Amino acid sequence: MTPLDASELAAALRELPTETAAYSNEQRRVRARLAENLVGSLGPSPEHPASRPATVPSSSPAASGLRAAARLSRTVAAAIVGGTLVVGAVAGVGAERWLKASRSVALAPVTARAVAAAPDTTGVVNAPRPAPSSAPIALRPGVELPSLVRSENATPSESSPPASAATGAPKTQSTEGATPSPKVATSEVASLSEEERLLDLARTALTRGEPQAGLAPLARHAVRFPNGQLVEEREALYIRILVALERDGEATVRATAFRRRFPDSLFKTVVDNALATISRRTDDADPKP
Amino acid sequence: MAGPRHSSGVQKNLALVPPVGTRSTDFRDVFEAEFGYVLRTLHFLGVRGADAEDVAHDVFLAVFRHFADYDPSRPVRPWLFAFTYRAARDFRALARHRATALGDAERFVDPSPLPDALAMRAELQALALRALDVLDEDERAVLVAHDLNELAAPEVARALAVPLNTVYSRLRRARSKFEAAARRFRAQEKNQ
Repeated sequence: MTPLDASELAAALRELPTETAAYSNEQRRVRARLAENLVGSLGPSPEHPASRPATVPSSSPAASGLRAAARLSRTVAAAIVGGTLVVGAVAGVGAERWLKASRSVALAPVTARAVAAAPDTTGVVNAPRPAPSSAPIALRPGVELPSLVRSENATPSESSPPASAATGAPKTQSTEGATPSPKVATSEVASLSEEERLLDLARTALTRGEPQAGLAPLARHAVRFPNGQLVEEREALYIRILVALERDGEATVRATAFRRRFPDSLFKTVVDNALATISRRTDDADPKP
Repeated sequence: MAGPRHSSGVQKNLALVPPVGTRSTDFRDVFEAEFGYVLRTLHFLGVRGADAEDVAHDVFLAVFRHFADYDPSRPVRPWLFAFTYRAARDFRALARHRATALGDAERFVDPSPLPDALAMRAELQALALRALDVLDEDERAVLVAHDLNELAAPEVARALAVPLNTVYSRLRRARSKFEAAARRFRAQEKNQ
């Protein structure tokens, strides 16, 4: 047997498939989990086990009351799982926008979001690991106009590799980003990262069936970032948690305020579902003759 | 090793930015087309089995969140690699994951009976994966990015946020350790 050399070993490994088709089972499962998180509807509900990650405990005190949302989540997940990706026909305006959101909406707060690429070791992926499926999406609604100067603002730093990893071109601005330095902190970057961390904590609590534990991080977020970059996401999460805790009155007040404040929100569906759950619960409690 | 890029230096690498991967303006397209790339990269980086799905999910969630940063005129894979590397690193940094991540290289390569030539190939792949697991995090990332995923050195530097010279020095060290570990494992197999 000839002595192994690194190039031979590497060549052998490069033969392992990179085509997505080779991992279709894995992809199907991850797709379902992403669909759930990106739609932003329910956390745990036994009603749609197919879209639950096997590794995340799924039981929620409010699960039984969240049928509509579960249905939505399931439908959208099914659409994605089916590979059709024809979202428009599926689940109402909110969900449709969620799933279409990826590019155009994500453009919104360019400066903040793109710079946010920066140094967070506590950021997106590594924050609360225990329930990897539970991180929220940190989209901003289309409140601000998209800017055309995306990638120049992005930096390849600790937390979000992004733009410059792909844009080999010389940068015209955002000088920190051009040099591969992990420090690049701007206050926006740091605060977005912290905002994400707090919301991740809250969402993790909710998906674990411990909504009570989600209140504290949300309260901290509200105090520290009353008008933060992720304020809509926080409010939507708040409403879901209140519904899960069956604090329907507070949830309704918040949901009403939410609709007034963010009429075109990407989280509209989430809030609508929460309200639907409340009204169903009320109906169940007081059956009409 | 890794083809002609091995000792080619900066200039050649700059000229060699490969047009790999999709260029898309839609997150879903990237997910559909590049899932396999991300998952294979995770395997190379030592995240395997069910863990790989968890981390792949995190990778794409992060990609979604930062999709505005993506420049569709550039190849997507170097960009994805950076997310994947970071997620794998964070995952492996948790000590409790280390035990499960290491030592299960065989699980990734199908051990079922194959024709001789294929069996030997699969054996070599399993051996190579085990040898990868021996590398330090930093060295491994460079080797995976450059030699296995075939990113150009400047792309690797950007993705990992390290200077180009560091990429080269890590690559040299990584190859040497990689090779030594594989030889060691093979010798052990023979002695068994």
